[in-house]
Amino acid sequence: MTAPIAIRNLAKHYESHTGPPWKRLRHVVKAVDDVSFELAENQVVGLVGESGCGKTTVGKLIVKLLQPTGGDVLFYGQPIDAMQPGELLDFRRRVQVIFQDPYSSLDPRLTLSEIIIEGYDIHGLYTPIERRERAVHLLETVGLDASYGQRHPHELSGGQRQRVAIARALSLEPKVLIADEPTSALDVSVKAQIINLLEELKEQIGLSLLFISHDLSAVRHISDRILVMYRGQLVETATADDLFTHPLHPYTRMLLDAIPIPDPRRQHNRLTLEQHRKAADAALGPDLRLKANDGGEEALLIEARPDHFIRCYPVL
Amino acid sequence: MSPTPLLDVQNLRVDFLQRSGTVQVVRGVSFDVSRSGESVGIVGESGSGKSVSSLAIMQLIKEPPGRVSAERLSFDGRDLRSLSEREKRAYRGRDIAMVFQEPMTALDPVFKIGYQLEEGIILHQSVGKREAREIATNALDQVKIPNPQRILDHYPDQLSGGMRQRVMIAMALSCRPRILIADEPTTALDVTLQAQILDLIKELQAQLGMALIMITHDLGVIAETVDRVFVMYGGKVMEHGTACELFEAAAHPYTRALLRSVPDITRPRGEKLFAIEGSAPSPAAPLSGCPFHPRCAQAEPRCSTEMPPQTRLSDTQYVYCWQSES
Repeated sequence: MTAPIAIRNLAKHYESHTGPPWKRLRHVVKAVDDVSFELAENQVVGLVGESGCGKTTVGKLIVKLLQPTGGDVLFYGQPIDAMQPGELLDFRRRVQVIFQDPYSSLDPRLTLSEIIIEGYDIHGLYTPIERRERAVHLLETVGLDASYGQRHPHELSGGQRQRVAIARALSLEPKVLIADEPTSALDVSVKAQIINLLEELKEQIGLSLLFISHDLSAVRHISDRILVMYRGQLVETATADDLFTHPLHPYTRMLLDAIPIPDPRRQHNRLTLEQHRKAADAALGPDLRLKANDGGEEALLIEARPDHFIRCYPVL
Repeated sequence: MSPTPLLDVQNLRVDFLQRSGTVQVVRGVSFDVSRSGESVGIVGESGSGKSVSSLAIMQLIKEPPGRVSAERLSFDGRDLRSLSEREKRAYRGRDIAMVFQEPMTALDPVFKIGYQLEEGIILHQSVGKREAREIATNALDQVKIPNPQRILDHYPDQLSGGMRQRVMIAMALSCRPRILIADEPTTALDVTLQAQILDLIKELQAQLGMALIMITHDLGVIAETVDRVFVMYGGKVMEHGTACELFEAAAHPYTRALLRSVPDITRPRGEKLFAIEGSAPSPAAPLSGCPFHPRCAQAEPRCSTEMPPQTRLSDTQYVYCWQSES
């Protein structure tokens, strides 16, 4: 079966120039470089990395808010770049996004039900009465009382706003949901509510979810598969369990080691990056190396364990 | 008879007068830092009053519109409310210093790092410019900023988030305060940076023998850095105990719920996360009874009318909950 979203060698490079016109210097920033992965039906893929690693850019490239400089995004096998306007409209309906900041992603002048049904206007779906009924239904789906429909965003707390953003995303019956740091702006007790809600919706509606976050414990909880991104590239991909039990790449090891553990009896002595590198090298075995011999070769994603890939160099 | 605590706060209240009425942000909070070198944590979510309490301790709340009252608010036996403006200025920074959450906004963008660091040093330590520069260089060196002399000539926007937070810590430590208040010092930072900054704070604390008040909503950060914890909710303290007591034998339903709602990477996956239904109370709404009762699974009728009294569970642990009372 074709995956709802497949990404092939996706790249987004930004160019800038310095110096006078007769002696221009070209700089290339590789925000996203050679990223490939698949988001299968009813699967949750977690994309983790630190700020600036390019994870949000990947999300924006998938929904065509940005134009890639290389590679393809395939929606059920069809490249989104080659889509006709009608197909593109359908794609935009089936792939929805939730953003990090629920304070700036809702129009302050609209009521919540207006926010939720705005998409129906654009896509010309349903009669006005049906739209209102659906808005009520959607509010209830995300755990808000129907009376909220008449309120404005400023009357809501952060968690409630994020629920509205989810309701809006669901209004068009999407196949794929891209959630870019959906819980980062929320309080601890509310964070769990939103994660549970996303999990329930995935089961009920059969959504595929790309969960972009820097919160590793949340990502581990919700994801089937985790992709670790570093400086625009995927450095390690594995199932959630295998990544946490057998992290291979030194960067992944460092990320996991950095998570504060809520247990005061555990003495947590963190290793340095150098120590992580040594440990990673030892774990990789004799066939794979983390360092290039000389500048020439490109690191590849190589399957080091079953279904567990790491960006490294094969020993020839 | 125990010796006078370094910082003693009894029944602190902070209100803000607004056109729409009085907003009670801190509704009677008592806490203390007993000695130098101790680390105390304050856990709470947004709106719990944890940051405003620390601003009151720093004497940084403007009155009006604010209104600070307390039975006792003293540092090292001195009543903070009786200080003159001049004494307050000397107190802030030299006795107690604060690291704020947002390293992006806490530094003034139009002044160089060096100037901003030296300003406080000259004010508090009555030294000349050259000496101040030396102290500033050492302070940056202490927070492990490579090449401190160069950084002094940088503007804040030339530094990364982690670097700025280091500068903030250097600034707070440059006058050797006896208490450092760290208000969500790592919330805006990535995990790897967070780990570095926490390690740095712990290391410097041990080295300088100062007390630490760590304010955060992250229970992992609490477990790693502090000895004792105050759990705040809706402007009140709900529970207090040593870190071990709270993580292993939390008595308040809120503390227990909070602990259960954090995904723990040391536990197997697949369990549903525990979520506390509802949302935190608004400080503008009048409060009756225990602030947590609308969300509490074990709430009884009297929880909504009467605030439970303090129940002692051990020498160090106490809780405000009717459940523990009986």
